[in-house]
Amino acid sequence: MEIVNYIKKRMLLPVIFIILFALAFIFDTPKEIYTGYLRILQSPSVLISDYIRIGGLGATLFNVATIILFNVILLKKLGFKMSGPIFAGVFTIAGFSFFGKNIFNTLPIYLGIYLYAKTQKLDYKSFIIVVLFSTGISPLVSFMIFGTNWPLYFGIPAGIIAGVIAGFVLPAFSAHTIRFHRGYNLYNVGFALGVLSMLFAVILHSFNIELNVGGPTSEIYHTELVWISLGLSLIFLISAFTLDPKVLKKYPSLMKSSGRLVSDFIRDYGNPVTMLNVAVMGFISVGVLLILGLKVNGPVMGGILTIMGFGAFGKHPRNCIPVMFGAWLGVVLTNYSFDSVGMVLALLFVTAVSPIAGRYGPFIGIIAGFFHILITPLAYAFQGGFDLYNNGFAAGFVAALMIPFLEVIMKDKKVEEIYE
Amino acid sequence: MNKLEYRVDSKIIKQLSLFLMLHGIKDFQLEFHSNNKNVQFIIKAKSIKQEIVDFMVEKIGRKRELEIEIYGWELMGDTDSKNELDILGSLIDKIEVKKLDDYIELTLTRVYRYNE
Repeated sequence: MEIVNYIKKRMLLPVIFIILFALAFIFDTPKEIYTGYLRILQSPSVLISDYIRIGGLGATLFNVATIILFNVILLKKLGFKMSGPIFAGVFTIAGFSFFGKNIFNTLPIYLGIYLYAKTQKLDYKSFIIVVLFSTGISPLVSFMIFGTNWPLYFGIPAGIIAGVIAGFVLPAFSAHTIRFHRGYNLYNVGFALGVLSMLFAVILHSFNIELNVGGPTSEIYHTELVWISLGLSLIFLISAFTLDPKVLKKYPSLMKSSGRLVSDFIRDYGNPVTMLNVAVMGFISVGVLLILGLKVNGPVMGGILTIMGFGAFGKHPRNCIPVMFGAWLGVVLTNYSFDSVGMVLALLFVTAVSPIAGRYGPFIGIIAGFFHILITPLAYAFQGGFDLYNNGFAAGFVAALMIPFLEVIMKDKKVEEIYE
Repeated sequence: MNKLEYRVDSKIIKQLSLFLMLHGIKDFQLEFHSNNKNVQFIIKAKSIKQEIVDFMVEKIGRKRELEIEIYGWELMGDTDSKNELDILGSLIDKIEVKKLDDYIELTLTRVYRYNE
């Protein structure tokens, strides 16, 4: 009974850690994991760097597990109970540990936020949402150290200082950017980081430092990653029904939520319903990829985990499927192609704008998804690749373009009909 | 007092005013009482439906959430929806309802975290 309560309270995070940690040693030997992990830590990590290609699957899973462990310990030290934003934050960190985040390049950013809290005489705990999502700009640290050809005695302090600066300015800046899209971009910190990334990219460019792109991805573990995703989703599904056999009846109430920031499904609907939603979002993500015949690599796996995490923080089938459909239309009706990993990622991360569909209905959601696909490649060129949440950067523009107009023309019609 | 607390207070006033106006309440008073320890927002309204009061108590009466202290409060007062009080509920410690002769009085209390 105590174990059940513990799992319920922690939303299975310790279980997920143990599974991923164990899988690392099933796929690779300790020596392979060690050497692969060193390669991951020394990678410039800019978008899109597939850690599976760089370090192997075992080392990547080890990286993911250590990142989860570190953040779970941090949350416990700070005395946090599990909530929707925190669950989403940990899953997002875990997901992006497949392509860009590691324990080495995330710490300076955490330190920067800590220093900001101290200078403002505010509690570090208050910044936990920003802290968890802040590491989207962690490639900045790795790039300065390992991607510039600077000597390490110069590159290491430069990378750490750049990470601390990014972390220091992020809390105030992300609080400001949330108003830009009015909470309709779930990856708000990703938008703020995109602007910061752009600033760092132009500074480096002005000193003739060329930004290198991540490189190719590895699809050789497609089957294994699909099974891992389905397995994790199944664990959440079984846990949801074990904790509450009537969970299915309560699920429709969650799907009435628009998902706009700052929603917390754990607080509003409880752990079992949220777990069910997390599972469903996992199955939908994998299902869409398999139906379209798309391969799962490190970055795509990151996308699946992120969507599952946001199953506690704004995303559900009613608001996600329309925007994903719009994104699919955006690819098939234009000269874009799913041969590009960026487009596959956009198909998953388009769910950043899911609150638009949740609030204004599926048709508007499809339009938002379509626009998102058009903007995403431009956003990448704009921000330079230090912001791993490139889709969050793009989604900010989509929401900011659409919401002011929608609020004017639809507030007295459809919105009131749906939600009254 | 930390400037952040005042900024949050002003947003709460905006959110409460907008919420009441969107529900068609055209005649209400909103009082603001602040000291070094806490702040109270007192709403006095004559014609406010019981279902709206119940909704406010349900949403605002939930437990305060530390995570929202920094992230999300800027969104308050910036909605066209009648049913959005989620963020406000994360910033208020207590809500009390009094039914007086010809009006209803709602008292929202928020304890200041940052006194310096």
